[in-house]
Amino acid sequence: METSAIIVMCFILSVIWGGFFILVNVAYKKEKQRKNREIAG
Amino acid sequence: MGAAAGYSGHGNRCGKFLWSIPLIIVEFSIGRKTRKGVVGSFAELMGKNYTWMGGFVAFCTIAIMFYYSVVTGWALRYFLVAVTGQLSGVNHEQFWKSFTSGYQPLIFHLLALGLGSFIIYHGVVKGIERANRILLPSLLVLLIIGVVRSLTLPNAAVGLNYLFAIRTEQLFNYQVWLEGLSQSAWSTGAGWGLILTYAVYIRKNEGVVLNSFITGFGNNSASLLAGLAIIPAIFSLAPTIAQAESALRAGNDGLSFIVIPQLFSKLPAAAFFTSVFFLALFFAALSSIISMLELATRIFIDFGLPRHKALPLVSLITAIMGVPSAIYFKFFQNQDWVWGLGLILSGLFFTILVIRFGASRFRTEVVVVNEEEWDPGFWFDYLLKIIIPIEAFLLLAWWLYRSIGWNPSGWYNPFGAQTLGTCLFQWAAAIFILLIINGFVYRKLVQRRA
Repeated sequence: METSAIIVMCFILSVIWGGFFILVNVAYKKEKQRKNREIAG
Repeated sequence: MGAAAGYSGHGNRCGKFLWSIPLIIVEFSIGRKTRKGVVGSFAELMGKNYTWMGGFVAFCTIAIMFYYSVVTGWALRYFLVAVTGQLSGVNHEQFWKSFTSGYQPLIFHLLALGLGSFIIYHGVVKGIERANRILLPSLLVLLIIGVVRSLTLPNAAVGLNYLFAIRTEQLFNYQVWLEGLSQSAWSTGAGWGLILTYAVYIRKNEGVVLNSFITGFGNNSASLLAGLAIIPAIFSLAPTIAQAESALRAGNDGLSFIVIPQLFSKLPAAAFFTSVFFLALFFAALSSIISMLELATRIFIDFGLPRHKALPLVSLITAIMGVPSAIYFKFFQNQDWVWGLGLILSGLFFTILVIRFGASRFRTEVVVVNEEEWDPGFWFDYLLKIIIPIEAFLLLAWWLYRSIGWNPSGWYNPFGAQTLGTCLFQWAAAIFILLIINGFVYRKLVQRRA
């Protein structure tokens, strides 16, 4: 496999999949906070 | 995706930020604010004179639903054929031709539609959410199985090179960027009205900007998985690189229903992997048909019909209107061309809504409605006011111009399968009808309710 292809593949996969997992994690934490506030309030 | 299939992927990712994600934010916000389907939302936010624009967005997606139900049926039929081992040893091109020219697509169109209707009959939570909880994880597992098999084939690296290698000469090729932008517009479903319809049911304080980014990135993540499952396998199994590239240009139906079964038949445990592919395709198509059925059902609910009456009506209309696409392949191609491209016009109508409402006002009054909501920032205003309308005009002009090249002597023919004439004729006919019933629809959806 060409070196440039390996670099681009690693970059794209880390940005897209990494970005997706980070965003899902943020959403999960916000949802958890919301539920905690509901229970507390 | 054309000659530069691999490279247009980069254009696709840029397209996410320049087309799909802003439009997804718009759709989510509108649905959350108005709590109405596509037509009702346009009527409420744009007033009587523009209600027909919402009608066009809905009409376009519903017209796609009529033939998409047929595609879902094809995937179901091919899964059943593959799982029973009937695909092994057949001439795949002949099998496809004999299948599409017979009566079977009609039966499977009705079966797929029946299954989709059954799911949404139970409502959003008990029907759609429950079904997607099974469909989407299953689709992910099937894709991962496909990726593992594809990447462990000999010469899979050739496919990876094709998919990811930088070809600098393509960077300044405008066609690559337009192909990528088109792919982005079609793959995320931005501007179809589907996300608006689902947003009708979300909580008032749900973060639409965060969810829009998750939708865009999630779509790209799944697209990458699908690319990794298919492209290395095609390059590994095709006898030559030229044949692999030509297979990728075979068009969606040619690639899915002729080339892939042909190539997968060379694998050990061919029946298993072909079944996995068609099951994944069926699950993906079914999840789309469910959202389209919900879009149409929601519009009838806005007119005052209860779900248990609206859904059978939508299903009956879809069953009837899908018949020509099920039995006549040229009609299917025609509808795919006309309404697939119509989606770009739908996206443009969403931006017109925002421009008329005021882009900054839309952001502050419709998008950022609670403290927890992320503010997308001023870039959002400029994208919707300037960039996206320019993109829409460019895409429409480019695709219509290309269609003249496909049929130079008969491009104006309104009854041609994939001509400029048929596109403009059918759009004009739809808009004409929508303008005639515009006042009636507005009164029913807004004034009567008020």
